[in-house]
Amino acid sequence: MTLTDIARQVALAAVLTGLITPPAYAQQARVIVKYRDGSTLVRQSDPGGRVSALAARTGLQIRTERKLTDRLHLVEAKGIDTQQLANRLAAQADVEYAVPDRRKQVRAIPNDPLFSMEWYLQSTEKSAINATGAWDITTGSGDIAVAVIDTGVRPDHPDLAGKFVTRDDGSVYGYDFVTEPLIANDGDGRDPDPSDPGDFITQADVDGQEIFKGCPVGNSSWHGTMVSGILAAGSNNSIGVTGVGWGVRVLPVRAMGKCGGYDSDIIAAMYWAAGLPVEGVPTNTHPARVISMSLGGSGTCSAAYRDAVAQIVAQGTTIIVAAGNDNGPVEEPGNCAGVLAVAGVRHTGGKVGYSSFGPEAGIAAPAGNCPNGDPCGYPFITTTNDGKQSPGNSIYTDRSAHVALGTSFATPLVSGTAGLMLSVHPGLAPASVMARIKGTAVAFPAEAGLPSCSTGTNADQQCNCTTGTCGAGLLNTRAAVNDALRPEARIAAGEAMAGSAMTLDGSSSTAATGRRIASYLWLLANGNGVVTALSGTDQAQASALPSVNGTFVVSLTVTDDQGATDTSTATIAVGLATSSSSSAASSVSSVPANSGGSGGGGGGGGGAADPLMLAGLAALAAISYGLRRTIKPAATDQARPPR
Amino acid sequence: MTWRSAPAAPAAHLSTRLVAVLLLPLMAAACAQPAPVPTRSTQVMIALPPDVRADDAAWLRQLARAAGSTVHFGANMSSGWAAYRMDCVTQDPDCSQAIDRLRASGLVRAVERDARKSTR
Repeated sequence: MTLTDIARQVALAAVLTGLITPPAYAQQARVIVKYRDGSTLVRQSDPGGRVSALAARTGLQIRTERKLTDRLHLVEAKGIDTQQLANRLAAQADVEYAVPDRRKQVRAIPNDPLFSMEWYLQSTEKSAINATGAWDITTGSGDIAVAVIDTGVRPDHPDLAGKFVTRDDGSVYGYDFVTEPLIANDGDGRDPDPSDPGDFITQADVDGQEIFKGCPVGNSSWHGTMVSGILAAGSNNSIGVTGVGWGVRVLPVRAMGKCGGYDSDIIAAMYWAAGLPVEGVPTNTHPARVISMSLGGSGTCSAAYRDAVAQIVAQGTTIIVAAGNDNGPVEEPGNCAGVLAVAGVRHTGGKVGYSSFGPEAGIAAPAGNCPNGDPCGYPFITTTNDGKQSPGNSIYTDRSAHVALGTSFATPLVSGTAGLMLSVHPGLAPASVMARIKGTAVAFPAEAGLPSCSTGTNADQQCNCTTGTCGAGLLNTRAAVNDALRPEARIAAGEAMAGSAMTLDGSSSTAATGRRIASYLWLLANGNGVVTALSGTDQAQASALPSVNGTFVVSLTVTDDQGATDTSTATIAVGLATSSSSSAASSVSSVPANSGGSGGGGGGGGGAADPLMLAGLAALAAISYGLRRTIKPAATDQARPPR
Repeated sequence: MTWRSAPAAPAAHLSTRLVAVLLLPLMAAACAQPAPVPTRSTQVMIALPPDVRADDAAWLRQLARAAGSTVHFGANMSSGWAAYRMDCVTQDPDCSQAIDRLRASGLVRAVERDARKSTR
């Protein structure tokens, strides 16, 4: 081992210590110096003496001069950057070399044996989400619950042990909202047990029960268990797979059973998951910050879903929904304003043939594809069960016998990312979570020979995504979590009346865990003849004196103690009927000021569904209903995934 | 699920019955139309007005009168929405007309079909 190697290792050890407790003087210059034999600084044993000698010799503000080995020392200085300090020290006659003391990062690679098959969590393939990079920032907090509204879960899967929200007695906490006992397949209606008894459909079911008429015959899917594994399977536990959310917890909420589930049960499950009351059901004592919904069906966003989404988002819960697998318009509830709909892409980044798409898609993530048929090249590897009807043994999906594909599985990649973001910054509002996921997305690649995706066609083929069809770009978990470290600027305004001073309040702005808001900066973006100036522009609360009724626009930039910023703008209504003491700001939009992501995405997502197109494709969606259940490999990339 | 229901048709008056009995042979011969009979049911989601208990018997009767169909309580969805099952008759097999009548009545804030979704 050379001295340079030793120097690197010593530097790494020093920096790793620094990672645990970030130094307040992170902006200072740090250099590792190796002195020549005979240097007076090597012979000088008093650290203070070495600092004085070096300062006198170089004219720099030397803070510390610490021995790492006899001739290898760490030098820190103020008023100069690290490279300049290294150059200045290297020029000294008794210095053999001087190198920057760079920061290294812990590479959080889990030891789960199937991790190498989880290509989508890594960064080699174009559409892979770089969760490994995000885990260098955080491996998630158990305080963040992500609700999985699905078929329930198999809590006995060893790779999901300890991954669920639990009751005091250690049992899995959640709820079963399936009202119809035949669909529930557990002998009753709603109950507190979110476990999955199986959702198989037999020919006898189809022939004998009106409620199953037209349903596809198939084995149990264990769908909720698969989604939960992608989201939060035990990580670094030496078994099976790793979940993208690593340390976040799953709140299982069952709303799907044999042949799907009713909107009314799904919506009730959504309210409950967010901690909102549902009559006849005990209040959720562990509200989720994220709701993950790998489900959907044809139709525009109904008033019932619109109501639910509005209330749940106002509650502070982010809703992530699969776009659908019908190569048609984004399905309900993914097409509801306020949710983040997830379109599916191939490993190469183009839209996978089966994924639904359209302007309502907010983000794209890998959904699995099989370029060469069986064995499948790019499936999801996750937790499942081998029971054909009732539960059997805990197993994993694979590349041949149990292949998992679909926007169902792209969805928990995004939900887990949101969980990691909230782990480092619990105060983030749903709009910020969604904006930062979109804002840090990677631009869609253009594959030669593929057409651009177009909402005007419904060809069952792969295409190059655009921001108008597959969302803002490809999910980049590392960049999204990094961006979550930025503060969030929030503006609240008191009652606004012409002739009366009003308060603009930014004190509800939030910083990431371990950080604090260090400064505020208010700007009058457009006084509009209503306001001519603001006062207290460097305070958490500024004030304005509107002279006449109308609207004006302000912006607030907050900076945290590590120099990260965020800016929000708000339009303030003065003396208008819509003004009130609690929300005089008629609109507030957050504008990311210094995105930490790789950029290139932007735009996309949001907006109302095209009702004509949805109606026209409703029949196709209904016909394909039966293709969504069983698990078997798709022959090509174009094939729809099993349900 | 325990469905709590209210019948759609109010009791007929005696005089009405008498007229009906007298006219029955004539009507049968002229039209040969069968009386409306429930064929199947459909589930709907209803946005409740304030201060209404979703499974209240009087409320169910109001819904039934407005819809012209038997309405059964299904399940609560939130503080403002609940699921119901409506019996559909031969002449209105998917309850479209009953739903339209309910919407037009002004009794409820909104009515939506309670459709099935599937996992993706």
